[in-house]
Amino acid sequence: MESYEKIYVNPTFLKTKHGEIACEACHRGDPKAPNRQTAHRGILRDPTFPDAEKVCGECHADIVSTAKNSLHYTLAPFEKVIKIRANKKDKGVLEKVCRAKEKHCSACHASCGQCHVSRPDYIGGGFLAGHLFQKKPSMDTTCAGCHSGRVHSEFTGANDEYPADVHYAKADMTCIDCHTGKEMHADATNVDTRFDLPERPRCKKCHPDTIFEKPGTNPHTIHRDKVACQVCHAVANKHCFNCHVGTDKEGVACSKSGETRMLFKIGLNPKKTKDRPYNYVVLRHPPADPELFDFYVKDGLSDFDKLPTWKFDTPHNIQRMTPQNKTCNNCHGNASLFLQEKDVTDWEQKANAGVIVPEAKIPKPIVSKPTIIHDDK
Amino acid sequence: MGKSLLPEKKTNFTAKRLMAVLAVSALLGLTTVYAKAEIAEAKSECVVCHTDMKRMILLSWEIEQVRPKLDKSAETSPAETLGEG
Repeated sequence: MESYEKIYVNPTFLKTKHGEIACEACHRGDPKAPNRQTAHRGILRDPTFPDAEKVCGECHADIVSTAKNSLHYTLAPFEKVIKIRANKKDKGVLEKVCRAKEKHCSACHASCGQCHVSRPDYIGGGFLAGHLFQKKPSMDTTCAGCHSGRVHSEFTGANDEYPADVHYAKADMTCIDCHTGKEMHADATNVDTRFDLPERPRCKKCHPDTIFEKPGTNPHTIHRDKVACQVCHAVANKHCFNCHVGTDKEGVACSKSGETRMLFKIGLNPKKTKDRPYNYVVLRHPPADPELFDFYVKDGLSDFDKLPTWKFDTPHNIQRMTPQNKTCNNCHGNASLFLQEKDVTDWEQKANAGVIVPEAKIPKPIVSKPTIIHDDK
Repeated sequence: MGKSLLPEKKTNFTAKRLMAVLAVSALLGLTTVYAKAEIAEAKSECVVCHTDMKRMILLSWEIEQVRPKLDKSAETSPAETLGEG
């Protein structure tokens, strides 16, 4: 995006409700100043962060009251995870870890403005449409701005040899069809991961008949509450195995990740809940690495193995038919689909003990094949 | 006499129409100038520059000459420039 496009205000904006508000009321600065330099002194590029209440809250108090604690706004689970993994014995080390987290991980947050007015800071900002407010942010510009490394590529079929998600390919759905404003603006104060948010999307919202009662031999009835939907209906997704952050010779923040692989791995559910009672879920290896912050401090994440490095995931490449659901024995007895000890590096064994599938828990091949009735959904 | 009146009538009509067009144009012109001034006054002077595409292009060139556009570090892995999520 060219620099001028980032700051050009479409005159139509001035005729909108938001356009009636004087620029300096949100952005500060001095419009009466004699020149550009003094006019921009004290300017707030994004007046909606870190305090959304002052600007948005004046008219949208109900939304802001929860959105200021939302996952996108605070990235609270990042902090929780890093603190669990950090070296807590040495206060000096912990402080350096926290500073590195602020510089790198926390730079990914999204404010009200970074979704509804401009592109996210992560991709350099710039107005979405000449400062016109977008009630529904665009998938390709806003969501993909931060989520294009994995989710957007999976969803739109950008990963070679892997098809786009059926919701995108056949139903023309975009992110916000599932991830509604209610979820985006939800308070995530006491939430450990994004999967624990009560407002998160659920397959059964649109497919209630598929999830609930069906004839006894229907695969949905057999597997209901035992496997997560994605275990049967997702395909291989992108796994990263390390990430190192630091600054380059010019002092600009940078990050380097190692190999990425397209894999499909089923593991044991690390956290069974009433809402997610499954025995088996899909796992993904995020770019987690004990040496993540080594540029800033050695042994900063000495408790790295306190949490699994193969994590619960919901790949965004849903298909009705997948390699593992074509027949019963494409999955049953197919050990290669399941995360085993041999798939996990030595230092990760302890951390992933709860998600690795022992041989005894790999479903046995089906000898007498039941009649499978596929419904139309 | 009837013959001589007809062209005169036509001229009068054309002149009146011309006057009316001029009056409307002047009014429109004045309204636009007034509206622009009103926007600048009511919406603050920021919009005078920020709604002017040509001015924004020239200004951005001027600024970039002094302070070049800062992209992501060249040392960042290509996969990371897409965003991890």
